[in-house]
Amino acid sequence: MWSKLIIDMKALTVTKEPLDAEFLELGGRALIAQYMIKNIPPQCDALGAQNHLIFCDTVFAGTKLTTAHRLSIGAKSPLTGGIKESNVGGYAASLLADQGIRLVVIKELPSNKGLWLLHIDAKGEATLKDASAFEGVNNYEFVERVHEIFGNKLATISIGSAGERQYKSSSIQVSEFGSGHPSRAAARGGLGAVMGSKGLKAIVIEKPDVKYTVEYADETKFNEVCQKLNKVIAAAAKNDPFHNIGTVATIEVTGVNGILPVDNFSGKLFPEYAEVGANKFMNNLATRGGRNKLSCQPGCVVQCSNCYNDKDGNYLTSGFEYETIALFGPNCHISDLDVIAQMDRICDDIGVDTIETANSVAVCMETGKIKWGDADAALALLKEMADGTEFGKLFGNGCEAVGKRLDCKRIPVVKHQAMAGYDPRNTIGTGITYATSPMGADHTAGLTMGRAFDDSGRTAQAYVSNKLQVAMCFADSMMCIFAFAHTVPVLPLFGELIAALYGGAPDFTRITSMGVKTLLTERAYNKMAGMTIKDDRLPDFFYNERSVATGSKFDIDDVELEVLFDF
Amino acid sequence: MITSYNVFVPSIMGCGSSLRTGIKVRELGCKKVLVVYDKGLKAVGIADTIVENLHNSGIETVCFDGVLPDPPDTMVERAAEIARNEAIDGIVAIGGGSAIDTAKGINVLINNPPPIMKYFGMQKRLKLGVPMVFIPTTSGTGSEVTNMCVISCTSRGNKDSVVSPVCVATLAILDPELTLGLPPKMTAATGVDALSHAVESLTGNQSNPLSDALARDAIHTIAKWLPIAYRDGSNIEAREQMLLASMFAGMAFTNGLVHLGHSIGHTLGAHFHVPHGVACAVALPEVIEYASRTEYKKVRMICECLGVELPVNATPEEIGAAAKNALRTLIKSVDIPNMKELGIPLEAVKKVAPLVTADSGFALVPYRIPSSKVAEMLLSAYEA
Repeated sequence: MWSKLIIDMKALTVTKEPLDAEFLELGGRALIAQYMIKNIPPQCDALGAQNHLIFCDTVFAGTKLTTAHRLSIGAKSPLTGGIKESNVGGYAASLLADQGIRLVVIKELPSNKGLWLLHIDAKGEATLKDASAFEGVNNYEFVERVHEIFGNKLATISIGSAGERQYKSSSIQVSEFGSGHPSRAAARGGLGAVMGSKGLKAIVIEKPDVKYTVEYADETKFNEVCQKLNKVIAAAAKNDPFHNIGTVATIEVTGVNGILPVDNFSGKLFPEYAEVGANKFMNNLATRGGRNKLSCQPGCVVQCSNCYNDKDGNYLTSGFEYETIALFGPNCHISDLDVIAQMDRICDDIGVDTIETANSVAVCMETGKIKWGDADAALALLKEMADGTEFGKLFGNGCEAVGKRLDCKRIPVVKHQAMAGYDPRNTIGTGITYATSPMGADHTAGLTMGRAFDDSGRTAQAYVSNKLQVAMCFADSMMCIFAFAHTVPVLPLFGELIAALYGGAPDFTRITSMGVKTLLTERAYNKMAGMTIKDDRLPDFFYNERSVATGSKFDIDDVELEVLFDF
Repeated sequence: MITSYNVFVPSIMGCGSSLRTGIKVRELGCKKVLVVYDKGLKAVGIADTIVENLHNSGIETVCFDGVLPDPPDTMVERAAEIARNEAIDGIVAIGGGSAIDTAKGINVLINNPPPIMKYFGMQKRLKLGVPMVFIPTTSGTGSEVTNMCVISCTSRGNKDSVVSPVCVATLAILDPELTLGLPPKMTAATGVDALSHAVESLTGNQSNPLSDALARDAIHTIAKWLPIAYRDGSNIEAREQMLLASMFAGMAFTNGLVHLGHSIGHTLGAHFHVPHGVACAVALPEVIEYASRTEYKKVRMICECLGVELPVNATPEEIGAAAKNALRTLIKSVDIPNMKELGIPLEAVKKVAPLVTADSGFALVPYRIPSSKVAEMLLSAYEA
């Protein structure tokens, strides 16, 4: 029987209970939506006692399905003011499943200021421990010290100083399988601030002495279908640029067609994009002892992760991704991959979202606070955030807060959350996703690039955004979307898989309806939280300014956005 | 908005122009062509005349006379095997949409391995086939000037299409005299097919000023000449105008694309074996009324082409209602049956609505519409 942990930060108690029957066939994003609508008042203060912070496994946790061990983290977001599910790779979800834990709920606020860590030991005992010694300690040092105390057969889920200070851009960092580096980020929506508000520095999960045994309706059938799916994914991954290079390969596509954001979403092209592109990245890995094709969680066959070293061959960062490179790079007119890697390391260490932070830097450049392309000045802004200066604290609250203070007319946010590395005028379906996703401007909610007729035209964009938003909803409830992307030719197998695990009919609509239900639940939650139709729009400048790379505007009729989720 | 203009197919048109087939095919450098048509066309002598015309120009021919309506993938694959075995270096298709789409399907498979269902959707990287010459004998499909072919997928029980440069003809030959023998029922059914191409491409998200101009001219021409051609099939002027309108509508939808009316048409066609033009037309007035919510400027143009006067300040709803009435009047004037008259049970109609939203062309609708609303449209059209 799967269990759940309830941590009451007011009473400082830990309770272990069987998982509620209603959540048994749910996981990831789907579970978070259903948990939140039943348990967290939509109008509550995101940093107050009524908000819960939820960690959960996927529907297929504990099984051999490749990448089934994504960790989903949910809460009402202090950044968007709405529902938030942010999922992350790393080792934690795998060990949680090995412990037989599907759900961890952090409730209430501590009565007195303090810092604790939740320790789940090898015997399965979960206890809250005083962590005041770790106050102000950032993620890399924290992990090192945890390894000294508890050994290295464990995974960590932690916040840095940004989360402790409750910055609205703060992330929750998870350690990578193998290296233990805290470089995997549940970055979006400021969930690190919720963790900080609850006084929880970290969750440390040890590898259990006895691994939890999953109960199957039909284990033989499950293994047969699972093997088929794993083979399909492994075969396709061999030709996947994310495997052979990493997500940075995306820049080779977006750099030439105006999708890559340049100079705060100016719509221009960036002729030097190759300086931060795939060849440069691979060359730097090869000449400095870096690596790609790494798995962030056990059993992953896509292996998109990497380890990036500095010029002297010393470890600098890992999980170095396209979004970070695009937004700290061309979008800030910076073309030095090493300095971007340094920024990535700082963000992971203090625990902030690289997307939100890089957009804040671009807004500072747009308004003349610092110069375009000035990497030193950008690093100085990150230092202010790390040091907690007055501007640093504002900076930590995200792109919109910074833009408003600096009177910026072009702030690229939706639902108060900054855009990912895709200009919505040149991948219009992605713009529709940015506008309508309950998560705010989030590319992982449905990146349509290359899937509609013409990325900068109107035809079929809403259709593709709708289909992908539903698909991402159920994919985020099952596994990593990079592996899921390879299963499209064999999708009905997931119907067989869920039936073999939980019983019932081998019907793929069980999966699709989980996606639709999740989306509609999230939208209902946001509505109760006070969001209106006006929150489902892009900032005006995307409607009014042409992208000079292509001449396109975001010319989608409001009606198309308003009826997008009519099912 | 930035759009692309796609003008694909050089065409020659005029009474007797089909007698230039041999000379034109020879100019293309072909020596041995596959001639594609159905048995009906052989019976009326049209196929033999053109085959003889080809022989007179020294072109060797291999005939495939097994074209079936709503061309099934299995038939296309069989014909393609013949084409490959005979090592033909050109294709001449004579007939309506079925013959022309069969020829396109064959061309897809000449240098790309079957099955054809592998190539459904937009295909930018298919290996090219051979030169194709299309000679339409109906005024409806427009397929002679488009870059797509519609194929019935026997294993899935639906229709899908290949959109590719491989589906583009090298030359279209439009000879109105070949359409003189078309019976009134077929004249009406193919004529409303052309009408649906025109009104849907005008209201589609991909429309541009070129496709708009072509579509408006086609609607205007069809409104005037279809009822005449329907009543008097021997009126050569009406036949010529309808063939022209069909080609214009084909050019229009190559640019503007078709949307919900065709998703409904493909679904009704696949499930109740209704002729394509009729299936696209039965709910076309409701489709255009729905489109008016966002595309009211375009729907106003449809009203103008149909001779309906509207007040300057008419709302999108009023424009939509007026267009719906005018289109239905035109469709009824050529005795296109409604779904009830076609013998389709009401319950069955309700059940196909979700299949309409699963049609591959549904991606192109002006704005999202759930299947419950599609069902309402179908019910509104059922006895209309």
